[in-house]
Amino acid sequence: MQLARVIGTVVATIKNESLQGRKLLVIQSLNKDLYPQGKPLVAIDAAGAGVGELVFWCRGKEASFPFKREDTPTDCTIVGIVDSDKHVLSI
Amino acid sequence: MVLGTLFFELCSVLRVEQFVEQASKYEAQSTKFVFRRMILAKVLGNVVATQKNARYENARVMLCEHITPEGETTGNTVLALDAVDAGVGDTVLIVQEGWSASTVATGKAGAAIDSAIVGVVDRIDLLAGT
Repeated sequence: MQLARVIGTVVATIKNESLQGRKLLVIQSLNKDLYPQGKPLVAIDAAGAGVGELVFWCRGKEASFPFKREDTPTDCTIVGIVDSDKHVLSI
Repeated sequence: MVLGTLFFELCSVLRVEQFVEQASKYEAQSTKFVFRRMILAKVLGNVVATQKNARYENARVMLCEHITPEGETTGNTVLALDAVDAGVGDTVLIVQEGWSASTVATGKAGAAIDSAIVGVVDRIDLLAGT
């Protein structure tokens, strides 16, 4: 999993039917100091996240496991919302 | 004729150099989030998330930084579920394969987990001079 900030939403009318009703969000991965690292990604939301929130996302095949239909085509899913920036406890 | 050949060769050398430069740039970008299968990492802290996937209940999400076997940090971080009660500052072994990670962290396969801490490293012995 990786930390990321939700930076936008994606609207797609025509998509695979198993993606119907799913929220697509644009996320920017962050490093340990919460600075952007790497390129933005599109993720499916499984945690109820909104724009501006600090989240963590899961990659790969496991990304489709939160959904009832395990054939949901995704390789990037938001699985949790970090309570606040201060809740990333680093030494 | 000779000049022409030289010019052509110079051009191809330049093209190759350009390609190598582009390839190295691409590599530098793409290795930022390379997910390895089994990695060594140092625990930096834990991440508090109240609202998360139901399968994450009762598990601690730890922020870890990838390290080399020599102990140098690489700057790449990863979040992993803690299955062995690792503490901040510990060197740990992280498995980055869904089935194993899910089984070890939640006791059951099929959760949306891609990394789990499966061991606390006591020491690493390396062959001298490598």
